[in-house]
Amino acid sequence: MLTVEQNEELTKVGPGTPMGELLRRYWYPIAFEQDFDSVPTKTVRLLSEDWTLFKTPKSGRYGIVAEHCPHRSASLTYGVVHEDGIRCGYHGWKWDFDGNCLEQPAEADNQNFRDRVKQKAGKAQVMGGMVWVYVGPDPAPELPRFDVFVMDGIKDCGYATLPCNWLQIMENSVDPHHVEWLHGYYFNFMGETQGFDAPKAFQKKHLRTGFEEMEWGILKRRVLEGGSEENDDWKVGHPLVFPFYMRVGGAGIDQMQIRVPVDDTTTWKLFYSNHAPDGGQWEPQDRPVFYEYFWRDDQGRFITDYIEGQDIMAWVSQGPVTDRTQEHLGRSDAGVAMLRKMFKENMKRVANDEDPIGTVREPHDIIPLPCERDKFGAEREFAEAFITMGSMRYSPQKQGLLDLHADAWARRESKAGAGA
Amino acid sequence: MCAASIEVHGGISTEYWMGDQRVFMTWCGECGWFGDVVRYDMVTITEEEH
Repeated sequence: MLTVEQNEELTKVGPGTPMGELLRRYWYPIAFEQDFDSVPTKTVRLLSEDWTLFKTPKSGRYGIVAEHCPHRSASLTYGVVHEDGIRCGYHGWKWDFDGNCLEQPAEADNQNFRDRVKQKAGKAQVMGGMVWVYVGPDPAPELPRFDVFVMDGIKDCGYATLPCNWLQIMENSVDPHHVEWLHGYYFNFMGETQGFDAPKAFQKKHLRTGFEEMEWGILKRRVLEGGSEENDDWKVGHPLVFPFYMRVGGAGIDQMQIRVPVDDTTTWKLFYSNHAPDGGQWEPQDRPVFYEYFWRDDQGRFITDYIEGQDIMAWVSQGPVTDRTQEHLGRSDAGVAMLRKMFKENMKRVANDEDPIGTVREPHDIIPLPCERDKFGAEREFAEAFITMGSMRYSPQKQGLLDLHADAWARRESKAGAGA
Repeated sequence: MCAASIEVHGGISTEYWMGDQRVFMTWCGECGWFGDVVRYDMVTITEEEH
């Protein structure tokens, strides 16, 4: 249970708030490359601020500036993009990538006036088919090249905008027991009442859970009924990647779950997957496949007959911002308490002008993250359930993904048979 | 351990229940101490054999 003040400190993400200042030390995906195929600008909202993201016509460089022109507040999204910046459509004031004013056409040529106005600006880069931005103080850290975004394979990403604070989604990532109940027991109940078979792998009981602070966040481990500490679920585990990801996977699927804090009550939620099963064969993709997944039906009820739909019900039904003054945490919520401590600890680091955890200052090719490969001791069933009973069921390439895994499985079986 | 105020020095204490025990997972923002503080209604001590 938290006080009102503690809850607000942990959930408010706007400029000047302790959490907002911490979160501004990280890069976020905020758009897709394909968004700029037909238009050069896009309005995006991040950390309770509106921004104009733009792409230059020749060099293809991305930039991000605050949306409203400092002159008379017109939207720069309706501006003219040049190679050296963006010009407001209203009176032609031109801004460079760092927010410096380059031109004020209707003013007398007065360097002093130009120097007195500055637009808020960030940094933008492309990785894994997404446009990533950094809107914090200089010097910007390196964009972390986490494995899922840069590894070889078939990439697939579902997204939706959810009406809740990002923290209640993050707290779900340090709550292993919900898998057994929400995706096990409840899913089975849904199956029995609606006439389908819910995946058995999620119904196994948790015998032990562990949480361990590590370089990138909190490593989560579990021992399930019938398993032991020798299984990947415990021996390897998977991490909550601070402050807004969770790395999961298994059976040839690697996934980053991304929770972009749009504002205090809105989260852009992406499930970014890479499919590279052992023995699988695939052609290189031009771009990842991006698509929207659905979480409410025609009557406005949550769609809970798939895994992520169940999660979304649990996150969104808590309300726009969970009232943590009313909660009753138990022993199994130790990971939640540990995560809150990690946020507080890193708010303090930022207040002391230190880098928070997960800040990358060195150029690099890839950052490998620990993640179990044998998930719940149910490899083939897990891969099929991940695709057909998760948000990937909305993917335009769903059948291709199923075929990829089935072919890979057949090749592995054939190879094992030949070797026997 | 350093006797600083959790509130003043940016720490946090999150309450959870374990059976009938109230436990406070506590992090001190001053000295970094991190652990559980358990509230007792009655302290029971098991004596070692002597």
